This record gives sequence, structure tokens and C-alpha cells, in this order.
Amino acid sequence: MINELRVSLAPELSDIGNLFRMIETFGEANDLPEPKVYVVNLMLDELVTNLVMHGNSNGETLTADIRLQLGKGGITLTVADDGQPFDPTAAETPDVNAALEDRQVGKLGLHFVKSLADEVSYRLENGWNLLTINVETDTKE
Amino acid sequence: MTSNIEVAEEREESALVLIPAGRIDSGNARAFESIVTERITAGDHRVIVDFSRLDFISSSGLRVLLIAAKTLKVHKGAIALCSMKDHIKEVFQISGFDRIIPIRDTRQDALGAL
Repeated sequence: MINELRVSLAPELSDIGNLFRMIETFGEANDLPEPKVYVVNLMLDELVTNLVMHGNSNGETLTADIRLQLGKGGITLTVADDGQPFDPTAAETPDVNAALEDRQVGKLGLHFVKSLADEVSYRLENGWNLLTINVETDTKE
Repeated sequence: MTSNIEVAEEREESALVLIPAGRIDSGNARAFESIVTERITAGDHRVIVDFSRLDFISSSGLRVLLIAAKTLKVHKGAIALCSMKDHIKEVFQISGFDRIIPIRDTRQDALGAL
């Protein structure tokens, strides 16, 4: 039984495949339902992509610490990074009702994170962005 | 570095059916985009994406489908999606993409939606 997974990395898009395999192994070891493993994978894809694209403005390599824990309340995903301060919980929501012609391609990722999480909280601590996400596992699915 | 994606292609009547396998994530969405763009540029304006072999898609994959839908509309063509797993369908609902791109249970129904 592995009920905690920790990874520290300088995020690149090519890391995403490896992260997924780790999460899938974690999911299998803990007998997590496939839709929940998908949600965690999706959130990490969106968050890591955001860090790669927008995380640092000064050209320095940033560090991301990713932690996945399984507890009574479900899965807790914590992403800490030392990139520029950014509160994903305050990000603008895309217009999901716009017509095809007016649809924008951005902003969907964080919308997924906020919509699929049961709880999301952000704080800035000693220059680190700390994002904590809870995904309940004992729901109807 | 980005990774590749396996996309099988079939024809149904006059429509091109793309069947991506595995995952469309931010690591390989560009590769998927190249394939879709290439086919549309080559003249395929009725496109179905069959999700039956796809286990994962993130917003980077939805972005490719949105661009394809916009481009096809300009060409008076259309795109439809089919055979999606429930947890994938949920992200199309959350994003409201199910209101701008037809999603059907079967390939035959998707053909009818083009």
C-alpha cells in the first residue's frame, strides 16, 4: 500500500507522461476508481502545463513539489512551486456558453481544476505558491 | 520535447473518421493538431473523432478540437465526436463544448450529426 506519492521536478511538458504513469500506479495500488484517477491526472496536466507556460517570468528554473495523499476525506493533491505568485482559485472563468465563433481557447484548464475539485485552497508562503486540492473518493461514482 | 500519438483513420461514407488511441495531453496535443490540420487542409471537411480508444484528454486536446470546429465551419464543413467514456464526456460538459460540437454515442449517430 502506497498512500503517499511525492515528486519534485523542474516542470517540462515531457514530464507529464511520467507523472501519469506514477498516478496510475498509485491509483491501482490503492484501488481508486478510474474516474478519480482521471480527474487527478487532468488536474496535474493543467497545473503543470500552466507552470511550464507561465510559471516563471525571469528565466530561472522553477521547482514544483507535487504530493498526492490518500486519507479519509479522499485524495489530497498539493502542488507547491517557487514561480511567480499566482492564485489559480482567483482565475477568471471562461465563458462556457459562448457560440463557437466566440469561443476562446484559453482558461479552460483552471476551470476544470476548480469544477472537478471538491475543495481548492491557495496560499502564498515564503515565496512559494501552495495549492491544495481535495477530491472525494467515496461519492456515487 | 513532445511525444507522439497514434491516430487510426477510416472512412464512413464521405466522412473522415479519426480514432486517436491512449491519451491526448499537453505533451502530445501538438502532434494531434498537426494530423487534424493536415487532413482539413487536404480537403476533408466532414470529420468524426471516434473516442472509443481514448482514455484521456485535457484542455490542450479540447483546444485542438475547438480550432478544428472553427476551421471546418469556415469551410462549410462539420465535426462530430462519438463513443466517449463518461468521465471524458464530463469535461466536455463542464467546458460547454457539448453545446458547440455534437457528441453522439455511436459513429452512425455522429455521421447523422454532420
